[in-house]
Amino acid sequence: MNEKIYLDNAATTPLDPRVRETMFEIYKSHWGNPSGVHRFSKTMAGLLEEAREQFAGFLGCKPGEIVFTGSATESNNTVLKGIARTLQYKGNHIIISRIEHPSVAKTAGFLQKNGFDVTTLKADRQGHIDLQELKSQIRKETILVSIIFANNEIGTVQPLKEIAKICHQSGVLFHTDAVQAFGKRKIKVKELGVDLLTATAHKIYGPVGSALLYCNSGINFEPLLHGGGQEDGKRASTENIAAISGFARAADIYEQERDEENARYEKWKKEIIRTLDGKIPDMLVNGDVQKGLHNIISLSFKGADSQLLMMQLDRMGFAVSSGSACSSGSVKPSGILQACGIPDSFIRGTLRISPGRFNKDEEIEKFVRILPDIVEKVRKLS
Amino acid sequence: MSLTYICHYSEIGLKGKNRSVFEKQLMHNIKRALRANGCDPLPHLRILDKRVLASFHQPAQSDLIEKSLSDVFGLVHFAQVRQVDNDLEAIKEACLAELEPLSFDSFAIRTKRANKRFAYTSNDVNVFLGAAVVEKMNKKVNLSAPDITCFVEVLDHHSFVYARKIPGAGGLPVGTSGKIMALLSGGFDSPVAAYFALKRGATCEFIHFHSFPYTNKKSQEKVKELALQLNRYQFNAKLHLVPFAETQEDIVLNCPDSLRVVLYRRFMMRLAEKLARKNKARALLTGESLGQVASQTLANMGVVEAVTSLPVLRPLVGLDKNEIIAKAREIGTYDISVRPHDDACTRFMPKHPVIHARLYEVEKAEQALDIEAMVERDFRNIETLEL
Repeated sequence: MNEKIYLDNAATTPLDPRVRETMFEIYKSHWGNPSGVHRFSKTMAGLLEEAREQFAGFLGCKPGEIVFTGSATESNNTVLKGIARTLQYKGNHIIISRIEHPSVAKTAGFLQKNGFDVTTLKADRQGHIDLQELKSQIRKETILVSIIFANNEIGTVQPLKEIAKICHQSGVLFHTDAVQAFGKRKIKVKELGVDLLTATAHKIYGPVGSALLYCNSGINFEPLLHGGGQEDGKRASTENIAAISGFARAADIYEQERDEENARYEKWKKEIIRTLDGKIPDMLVNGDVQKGLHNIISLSFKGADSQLLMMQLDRMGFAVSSGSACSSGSVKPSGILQACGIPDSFIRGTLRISPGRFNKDEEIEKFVRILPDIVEKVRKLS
Repeated sequence: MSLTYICHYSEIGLKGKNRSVFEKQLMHNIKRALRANGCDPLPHLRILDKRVLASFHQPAQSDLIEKSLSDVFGLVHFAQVRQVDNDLEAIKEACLAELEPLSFDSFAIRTKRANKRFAYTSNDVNVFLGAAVVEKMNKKVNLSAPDITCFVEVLDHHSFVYARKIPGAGGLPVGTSGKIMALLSGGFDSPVAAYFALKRGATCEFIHFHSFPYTNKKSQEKVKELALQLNRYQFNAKLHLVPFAETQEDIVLNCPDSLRVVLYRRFMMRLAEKLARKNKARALLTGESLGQVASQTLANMGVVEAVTSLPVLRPLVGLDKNEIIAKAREIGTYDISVRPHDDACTRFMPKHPVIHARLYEVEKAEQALDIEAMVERDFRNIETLEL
């Protein structure tokens, strides 16, 4: 019980000490509003532009195409609401999928209530959208397609290049929420052909409260936040330089260590699935195991209450999350797993295990060792 | 100008040797009610022939006084009175002055003559005053269903005349029936149950079980407001907040899901009893009403109650939900209870709660738990607020 093993890195990651060092240096030595003219401001503006250039390098775009925001939720809201409002004269149709994060799905729902027409694409068993369906749903009123890069519950990665191609053939803008994929996948926006992309720091060992929006230079939209005209008028607010620099440092680490880290995740994923598959009956592995993100492992245990599994694991020191959320007193089964056609009896017993940079082999081994007994015990109680 | 109120109590008049204890408590409670409502200075109180006489020597607002007195358990009714000498003419003047500002067609005079040395019988006084009112005000006497009744009480040294009798809260003075540990949930029922106990003269300490961090702090704030609302009947209650999430986890993780609710309640009873014994409360009280929900069957009540040897009072057993709601509105707890809050996160709620639990089954399920250690742990973590 004294041991604490964190396997919930898809929810948020701990701060990498190297990122912390970068941020701490700035907090210690630098301050000033980057919009000012004196030397304090100039230093901060320099740090800001340095970070912007770094991201331009990572993403293969121009520095001016990076907009720093306060959260991925803010980036997604900015895109959906901003594009909807700005391109309203062209049409009122938006396409998303059934496997979007709530910050896209609920924002689309808000637009729907305000006169926009929203089409929600279905997903297959592994969580892929159907490109034929996408093609057939695009019409002349369509102004935006927003499809998640890698799903946060099951890790399935969508064929972005193909989606972008279909969108551009019809002159429709394509946005992707790349929160889970950013870092773990090498992303070059021009090669992929995405017009807008959301990424955040706190899923890649950077600070909470720092995110970005890549926005192709040809695109203009009404900002979500009006004010001092920062970020080229696309996002007013004094920039949080320490957090932005920390974000850049976190992304930079991934540039160096991506392959090595992914190899570790892949090994753990295989080990977890292989070991449990024989030991736990009535278990489903969700998502695209071969080609999805290796740090997200979604397992469903028929007839086991995931709330109890999490509680029991927490008592043993393991932090994981479930395929459902207990919000305002009601446990709702995951809409994403429902979209994949997973039966409710399995969805209610779903765990998302997301190992991270600081886990050790022994921790994964221990987890795999104790899980079968816990599942068996919880099944008896459920 | 001074104001005088006569406050009548009935039942405590019957309590024989203990009467002075009850009277003292009643006067104490009247003062506390007045003080709590901001009445200053407090009146002089004295017992006069099975009545409490309250004399306000400073100008005081009658609204404030009447609001205070109507919350005091033990009073059957009370009235602002005109105090005169034991003289028939003076009584007549007071009677006419009392009736003059009131609008009515028919009336009656009812005299009580506690002072038997007074030269006139009650009936004499009734007839004399009745004639005067008929003559002066041109109103009709109606003894069976008068619009208004003017009361005359002739005591040893003074007489009191009043026509506006205000009903009191009834019951017995709080503090004369011992102490109760009342389980308070935040819903509609438990505050009403506590009200009934207070009404019968008990003092209440309140105990609330919360599932923080599974639920937010709102339920605790709500319960605090409910306890404060009830506190106007007793003024210095304690509210004990018991962190219950760990015990719920223990139960959820070790016992069959259908028995959860019954098991939670058994632990609540154990903790409430332990605290009751420590704080010298002699009974537990719940807002259960027979058959209202699945856990409130006789079988389940029996299984829950089996863990305590203190009496478990359930004053709502005979009430329907709409009667409980009506009472809650009347005592001002409805508006607090109605606000939404996470009661216990549904992750702790079973899909199919047992309706007729059997004691041996429940006791067998509890063998998986270290009952003593759990109770000790929760007991240590109780947080007590003085209201």
